[in-house]
Amino acid sequence: MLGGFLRIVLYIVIVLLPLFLAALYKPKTDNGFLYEVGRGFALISFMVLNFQPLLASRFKWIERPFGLDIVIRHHKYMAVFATFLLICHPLLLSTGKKGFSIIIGTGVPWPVWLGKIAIVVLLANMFFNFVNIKGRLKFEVWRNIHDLLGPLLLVLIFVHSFFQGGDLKNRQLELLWSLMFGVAVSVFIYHRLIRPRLLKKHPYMVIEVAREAKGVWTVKLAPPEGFRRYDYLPGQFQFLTFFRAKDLPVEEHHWTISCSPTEDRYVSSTIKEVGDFTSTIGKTKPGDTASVHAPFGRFSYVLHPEERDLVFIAGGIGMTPLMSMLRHMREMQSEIHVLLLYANKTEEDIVFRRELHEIAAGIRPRLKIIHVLSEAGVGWQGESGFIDSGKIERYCGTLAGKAFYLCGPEGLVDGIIRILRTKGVRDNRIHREIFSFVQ
Amino acid sequence: MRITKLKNVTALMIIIFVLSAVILALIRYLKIV
Repeated sequence: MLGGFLRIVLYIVIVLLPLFLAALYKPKTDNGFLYEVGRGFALISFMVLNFQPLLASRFKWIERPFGLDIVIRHHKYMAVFATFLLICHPLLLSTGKKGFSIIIGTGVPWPVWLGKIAIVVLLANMFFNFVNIKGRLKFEVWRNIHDLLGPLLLVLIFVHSFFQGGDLKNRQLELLWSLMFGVAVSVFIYHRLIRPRLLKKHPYMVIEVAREAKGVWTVKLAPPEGFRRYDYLPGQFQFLTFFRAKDLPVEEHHWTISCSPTEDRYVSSTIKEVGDFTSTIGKTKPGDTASVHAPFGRFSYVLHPEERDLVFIAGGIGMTPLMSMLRHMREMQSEIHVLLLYANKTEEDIVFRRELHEIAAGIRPRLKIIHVLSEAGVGWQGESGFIDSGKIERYCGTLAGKAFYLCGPEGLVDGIIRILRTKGVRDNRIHREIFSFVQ
Repeated sequence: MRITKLKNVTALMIIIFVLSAVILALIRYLKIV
């Protein structure tokens, strides 16, 4: 994880760079202490916000040590932090000689007006993010709003600080400001405009769409002619944009890869009908195409070769990355022991049921499956209810030496983590994939 | 577990950033340099 550590240090150093340059250039001031804190907050929040497009643009060299879900989570935390700093900025400046006229006065210079507008834009952006988290906004609508407000905010704070910033009167800081802003804007344009067009030039082709369970479909995609399928680890995920019949929506979404990387003719995702877009997935036809941006994520047993005794806990469609791993173990004839606790509502909802039992009937990997149904029908012989502390204890026995891979709805995963922690399982033995980037 | 680690790292970063801004302000205010 040295690469991850170095990247974090680099991030911290770059964000703090303007503070050092400002201190070198102008170490003394006649302003009050709080006023100066306010200026420092503005310098940091400018750097943090200009880093945001870089974090969200899925660059492999940033994502690799952490996993994209973690990088996106960091992007969100830093947005909240930068918002806090930017709100504090005018409040702290108002402790200076000009007082509250900075905030409420109308006779301020035009760059200050841009700063005021920037705060309104920032708050609007945060509001829509909050609405999105609450699930009250269509993902595509939120994304378009975010794509508009994010860059607008960067432009506003750049112009505001460049023409108004008291610390930006030296060449080095002017250069750093222009460089950060230039990189942020270029990265945004590349991520949202150029890369999608480049990916669309060499689309993958849908070769099969098969019903897997109630409302669950597996879509197989073959690489374009003359191209090799991209390399990935079992458990990783891909971004797909399907190009299908004219009346079907064209949106980019991410799904786990459900096949094994030992299969080199195609790559597949198993998709559940849960929203406006996924409810059309069954209408995808062989011959349709899709642009593919992949692979991402670090939810893979191959990254932890020291773990030989695994417990997979899945809820519903969260089975897909675990299925990719099980298929890979089967193809590799792995000696690993796996206990799978698989939660679903009804028998009909169990995905990959037949194949799972075929793997369990084989010798490698040594797989044991426990189905748990929350709405078990009459005649169900297996476990019913939810995966709880008692069931984990009963089937796992001792938890020492075991590693846990969790994937499914947030509530289920969070609940299991709480149980495992109370039973003394260390965090480095618990692996999870954050299924949704929104939450 | 990676989420907990991320929260720790982010919290540490935020503390470093805020402290740095406060230290810079203090240096200037007290005219230390």
